[in-house]
Amino acid sequence: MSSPLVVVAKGGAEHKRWQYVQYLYLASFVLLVPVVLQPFEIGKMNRALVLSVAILAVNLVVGFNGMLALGHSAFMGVGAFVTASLVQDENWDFWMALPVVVMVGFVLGILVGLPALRVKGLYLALITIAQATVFPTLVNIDELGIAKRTGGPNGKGVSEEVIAPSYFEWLPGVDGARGGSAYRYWCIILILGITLLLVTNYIRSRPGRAVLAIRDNEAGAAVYGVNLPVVKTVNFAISAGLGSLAGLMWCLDKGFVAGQDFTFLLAVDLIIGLVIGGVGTLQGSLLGGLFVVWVNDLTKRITIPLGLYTLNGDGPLAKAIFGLILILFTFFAPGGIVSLAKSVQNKLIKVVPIRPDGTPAEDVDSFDPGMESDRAQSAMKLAILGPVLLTIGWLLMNVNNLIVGCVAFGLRFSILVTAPVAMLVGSNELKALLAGRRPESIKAQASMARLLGGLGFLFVLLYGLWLFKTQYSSR
Amino acid sequence: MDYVLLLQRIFDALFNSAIYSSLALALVIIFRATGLLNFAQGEMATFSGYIAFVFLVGPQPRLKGGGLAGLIPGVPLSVPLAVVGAVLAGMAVGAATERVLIRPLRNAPELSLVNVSIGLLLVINSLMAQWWGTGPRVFPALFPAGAGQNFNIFGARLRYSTIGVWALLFVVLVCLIFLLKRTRIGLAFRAVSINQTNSELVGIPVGRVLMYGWALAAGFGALAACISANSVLLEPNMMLRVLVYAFAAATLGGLDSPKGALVGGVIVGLSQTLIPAYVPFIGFELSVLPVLIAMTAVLLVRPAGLYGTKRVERV
Repeated sequence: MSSPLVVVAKGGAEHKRWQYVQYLYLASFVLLVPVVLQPFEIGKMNRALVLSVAILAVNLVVGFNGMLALGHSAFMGVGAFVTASLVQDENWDFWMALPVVVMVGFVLGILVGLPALRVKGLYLALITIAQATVFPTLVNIDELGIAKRTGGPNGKGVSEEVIAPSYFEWLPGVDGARGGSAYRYWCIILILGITLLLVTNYIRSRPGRAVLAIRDNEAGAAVYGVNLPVVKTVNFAISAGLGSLAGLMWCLDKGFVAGQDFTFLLAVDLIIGLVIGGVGTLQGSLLGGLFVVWVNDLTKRITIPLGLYTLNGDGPLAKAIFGLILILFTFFAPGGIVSLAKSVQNKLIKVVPIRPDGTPAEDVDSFDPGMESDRAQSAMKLAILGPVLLTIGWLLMNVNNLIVGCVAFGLRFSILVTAPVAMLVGSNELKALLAGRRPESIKAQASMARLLGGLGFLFVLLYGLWLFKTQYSSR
Repeated sequence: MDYVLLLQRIFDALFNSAIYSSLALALVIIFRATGLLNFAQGEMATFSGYIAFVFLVGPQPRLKGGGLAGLIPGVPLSVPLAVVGAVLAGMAVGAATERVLIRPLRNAPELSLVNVSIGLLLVINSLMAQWWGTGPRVFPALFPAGAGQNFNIFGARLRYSTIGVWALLFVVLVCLIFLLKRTRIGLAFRAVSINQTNSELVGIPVGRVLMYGWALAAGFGALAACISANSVLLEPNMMLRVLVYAFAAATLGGLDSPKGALVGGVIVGLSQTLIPAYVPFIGFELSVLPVLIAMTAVLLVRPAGLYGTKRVERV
């Protein structure tokens, strides 16, 4: 499979169909999480999404502006403590606190960013890491009533619990058993969604393009009239505001804030998430947050007996595995999960851009009639592979072994990709056949692929719907 | 103002200064050669400290039940021999790190190098915690540091250990200067620090020279760990905080200046002790704050540090 299975024009019907499939998966993921997972798992998902927002904030500076600012755990901490103080001491609502927290983060970002951005590269990394290191001790200062506000070394709890108001009880998952965490999940999803939308638009806007230009060539950007200090500082401040927002979400999710939560190690977690997700991509930030939380959860269950000595994942080993993964990714996949996924996707589906005159930059179904095409055949293989892997995964599911469990999990989910791709390729080949660009011999294989892929996809959809329906109505 | 107390505080601070100076020197050596800040320097140093510990009392891992394996016989060496062994082992680790992890990334962006060193920090730190446990271990003092073992200068006590540590540091420094100024390999190292491409063109094996540089730096780190392991107690996170101070020291002095690292170490050590003592609202808990503020201020006024060379960028 060296050449892509199907080549589609950007914005064409096939491309749109593939995108709809992606949107559908995303939507069902969002909808299924609160109804299928256990409450404690929803809690972990919440933490992952909070980290995603924080990683997005780091990404804005490191990935999009090329500045090595690694101390966003401190901004998170500020946001969390301001929220806790406003909600607990002043009896504010979380939603009332939100704009204040973002503004506080923004102003703080300007204050830190103005001096910090004068230095470059590793020097900036130093300053920001210093900022992350010193933050946990800063909350303990007795002066200015800081310790009273932050609770000092004891941390600060928020006694007001976030419970769904009665008019939101229809939200999936928000019922008696998992109501609290599911409702918090929906709050976090709402904030995350709006943040993503705003950041996407910001990156595409004029200042956003200036930010990218600075990353790509600072001197060049200056020559083209980009005001370097202003753009850098404002970008840093926006990122700090986002970091504080993540802090607010942290507080909303956990209901408890302590200085020890926002150490250098949290900053390291953010960097790991950033690198493993994919530096400079929005999807990467999301994946990074999920990765940091769930892989950490996974490594905690590892135990390797070595004679007298047992390697236990529930201890320091988890950190070692993270460090190892970070090093491996830096060496072998510097673009993170996003680039890995892209390279897999490029094997299956290639999207070619459209020329200004409306024709695709590359012939979409380039194939001379008479030549042997293995596309239809590969599609058919793919269509058969999906259900087979699914069955294997299902059979392996009950084996009580961590690695087998992970493999089974992956196998079961592979049908999510294989089925729609097989369907797409099959229908595309049939269309090319109608246009007289394929030999007649592929017809059977192509329709087979289309049929099997379509059935597989239908199965996935129906299964998801069934899952949602049974879990939703079992309240 | 109590001048005896002030003098006493300065004497006490000088001991920590030696630790910061030697770790800052390690950072500076690597930065000069590769333009990389090694965030794992502290953990590499701590690891060497544990190696010295092993030479002294044996491997002593934590076992399944959480207890210690006290029965495994050690290799009881005398303290100086153990330190020498630890420094050599640390140098080997440093060289191996350069060869395996850093050299393949020679043309990679800064972020990749930062990532690798942070990953290394996590790996070494947690492997140490896994093997030796997180509890602190007692480490013998290199120089007599007990009660009464001190000089009395104007009523203030200057401990033998402080003098010994600085003497040791100076001996090592003289050796380093001799190595850099009088030997062929030192010449090669200086050439590589100045310009890698040109060094390669005149036939210097750049990779190998950088490896020696890393070994040298790791040796300084190991020395810092062995010096401090008695007063801070040997534990996996021992160097995390020290590393922050060492970073501050190296930045203050200029990241590419060994002299700056020494001076910076002394400044950081002094301000860490003196500022909390004389500025009322900064407790000892917060002693890291003035140091970091000083570091930031210096970076803003003189981005290259006190003795560093100014970077000129070519457009």
